[in-house]
Amino acid sequence: MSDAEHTLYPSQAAFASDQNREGSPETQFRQRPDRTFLREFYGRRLRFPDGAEHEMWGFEDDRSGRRFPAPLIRATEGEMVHVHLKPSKRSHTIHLHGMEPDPRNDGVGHTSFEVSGSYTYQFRPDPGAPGDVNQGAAGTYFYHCHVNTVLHVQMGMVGAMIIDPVVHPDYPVPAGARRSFVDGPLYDIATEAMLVPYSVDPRWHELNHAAGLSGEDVGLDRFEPEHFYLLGGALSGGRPRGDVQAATGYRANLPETGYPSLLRILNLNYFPTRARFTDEAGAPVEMVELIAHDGRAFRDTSDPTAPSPPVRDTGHPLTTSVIAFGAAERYDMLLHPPRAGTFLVHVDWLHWVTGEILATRSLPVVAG
Amino acid sequence: MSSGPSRRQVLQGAAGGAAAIGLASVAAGALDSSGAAAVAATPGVLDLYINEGFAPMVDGSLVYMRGFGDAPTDIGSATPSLRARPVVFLADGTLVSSRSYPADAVLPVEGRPTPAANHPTLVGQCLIHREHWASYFPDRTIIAETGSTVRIQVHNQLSQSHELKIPGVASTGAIAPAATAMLEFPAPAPGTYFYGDPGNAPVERLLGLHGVLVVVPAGERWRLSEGSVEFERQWVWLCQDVDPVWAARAHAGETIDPVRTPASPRYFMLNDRSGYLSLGVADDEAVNHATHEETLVSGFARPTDVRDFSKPDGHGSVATGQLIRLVNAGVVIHQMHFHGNHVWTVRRNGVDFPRSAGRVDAEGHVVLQQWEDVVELDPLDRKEIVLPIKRPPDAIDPVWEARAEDWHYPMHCHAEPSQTAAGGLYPGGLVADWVLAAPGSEGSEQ
Repeated sequence: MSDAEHTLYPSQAAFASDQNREGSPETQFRQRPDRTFLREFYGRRLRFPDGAEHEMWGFEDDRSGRRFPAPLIRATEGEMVHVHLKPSKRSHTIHLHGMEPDPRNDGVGHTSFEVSGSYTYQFRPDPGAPGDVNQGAAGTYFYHCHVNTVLHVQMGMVGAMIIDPVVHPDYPVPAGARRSFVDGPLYDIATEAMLVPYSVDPRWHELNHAAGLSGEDVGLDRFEPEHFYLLGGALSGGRPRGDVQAATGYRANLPETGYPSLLRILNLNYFPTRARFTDEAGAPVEMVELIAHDGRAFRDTSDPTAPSPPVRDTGHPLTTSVIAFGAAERYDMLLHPPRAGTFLVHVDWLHWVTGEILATRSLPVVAG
Repeated sequence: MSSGPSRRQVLQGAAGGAAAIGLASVAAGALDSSGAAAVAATPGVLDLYINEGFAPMVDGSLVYMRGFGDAPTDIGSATPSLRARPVVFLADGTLVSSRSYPADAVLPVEGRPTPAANHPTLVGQCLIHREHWASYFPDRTIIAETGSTVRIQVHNQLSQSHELKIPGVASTGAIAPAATAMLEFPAPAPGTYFYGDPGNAPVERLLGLHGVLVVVPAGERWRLSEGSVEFERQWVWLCQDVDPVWAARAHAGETIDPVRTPASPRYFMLNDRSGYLSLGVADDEAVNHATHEETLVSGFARPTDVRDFSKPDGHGSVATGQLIRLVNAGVVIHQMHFHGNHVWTVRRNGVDFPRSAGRVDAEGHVVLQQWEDVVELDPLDRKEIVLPIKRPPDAIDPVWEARAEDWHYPMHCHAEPSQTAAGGLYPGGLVADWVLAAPGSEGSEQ
């Protein structure tokens, strides 16, 4: 069994410093892609919105420039997707977090290989079907390097990924609108946005690629963030500018204005976060409807022999003013402002042991 | 394939089989290095000894710990008893020492249940055995069938007061140094419970005084509770954090103020193992063997339907996966991320999530059965999840159809500092693999 297939190690240091590495492994059963993304490694000091500069490692494509986070990967269920990794001098991988392909395309060294030359990750997001809780990959994801992950993710080797649903004839999609899953509600493309909390421990950004792997204590057990950022913003905002794609605020449609606005949240921290929606005076406003989590719709599965409709279609929408989301979690939500005007979304960073609020950042949500 | 046990399974059964607790267990713990004797075992009563000693971490360093052991040992012991071997309180009143449950079920070789048959239509998939396989449990697990009475005699070997408490169920109250307390209670409702010393929380718990109580419905031993989730086999995953600074201060006799000097864990364990030990790739076959049986989830691909884990498929099989009971004895919020399959979350802290009419609670957590690829596990939280062990949905057809070897997928905490040991050594923390077995690798049953 697996013992026979795996090298055995006398110590953790021997294991940590001997992950499977390959130069340019073959993509098995390579297909003609519907979508291709290039992700090349870069390292560079980037200027953040608070004026701080941090040494960052990241992924760029041939048009993105060296920016943070890495460019969005966006594809549709059922498409053959290729992500071509060129790691530069050192070994890296791309793990498509939440996508579930075979191990060679999962981007983890100890279950497949790390890449030093180049590799094309290949996968096909599972198509969904209306009312089917057991199928469908549409939703919000992210991708990141899975080499010395604790360090490489903090260093910036990470980007968002969105899988759009197939269109089913019973759930048509008019111009200007989209669904976040096959039988999900229509949302307004023009105001679709992301909210991505991220924070920086400057000490970590002075470490080297393989820090700690040989057993030296480099303090990667202590994440002590000093800078707190809300990344993301509008997804239809055109070509991003500046080193860092920070969110500056959100738009939320009223029913008379158009389809509801969709906000996708992703926690890029190692600590838990909490998003709170309030009015300008700070009073909670239940203007959020959660519709999906980790790339799967919230469905009513109470009838074992009948379709599982989205919970919003059963008279029980998941409405709230507060969302708790820890490291790597994603939520898709519709915004339902109660009236025109300005509301606020506040994000609290909580210490993972004490629960103490380390920082709060707030952005406007303008309803109109 | 046949459904009968293979020779290998029978041999395995002999090693993992149950033994009535009595004289044998007394003999095993008769003398420790200080010469203190274990008490004579009383039939039907579990003796736990609150001991101290030094336990090896994944980098080889020794850290002072306390624990509920099953024999008296002292701090000078080279092999201190800091965690008890699994036991089962049966509904008929007997107490047995056993790493596996149910005792009359077939033991899965290396912890991996083999299928009943290939699926008649789905390539590379199988039909699983129903109510067939035993499950292995890690140290620190106490299993109780409904209808049983749990009787635990707790002997405090240390120089401070301690307690064994199962929140919401029972407690010994403070046990003075060198004193013994008897805890007796009827098995509570089926589910997963934490036990530990609540003293100076979370200090004593983090020093190692913790474990898991699993209550099983006696008449439905392959379900989470009566009429609830059915599973092929089950697992206990106990998340643990270790702060060696706290440990050294406790060893020196200091009283730790957890507010003034919060814990700063440097080691992160799953079922008392980290990193390469937890992944079953150590050059110690005995450790790897136990890790596979207790921790590394493994099985053959099968169709599943999360609407009904007892859905018959017309071939005597059901559309279910394997149940994992997650328990966080540590102090950090763990984020359990599964590669390869999303998991279906069914329960938190003893309360089933509903399948309809869900809500968002005051903290901002969704209360509804749902798919997740990251399961948040707060300190002292217990959650039950089902790993479907289904075809990874985004693998392309030709790769799936050509599959000839086991597919390994990581499970790791995504609060990434938990992936370190002693400040580095990635991946040296709270990590495991789960394995989708290759078709045709069913072993000697073939």
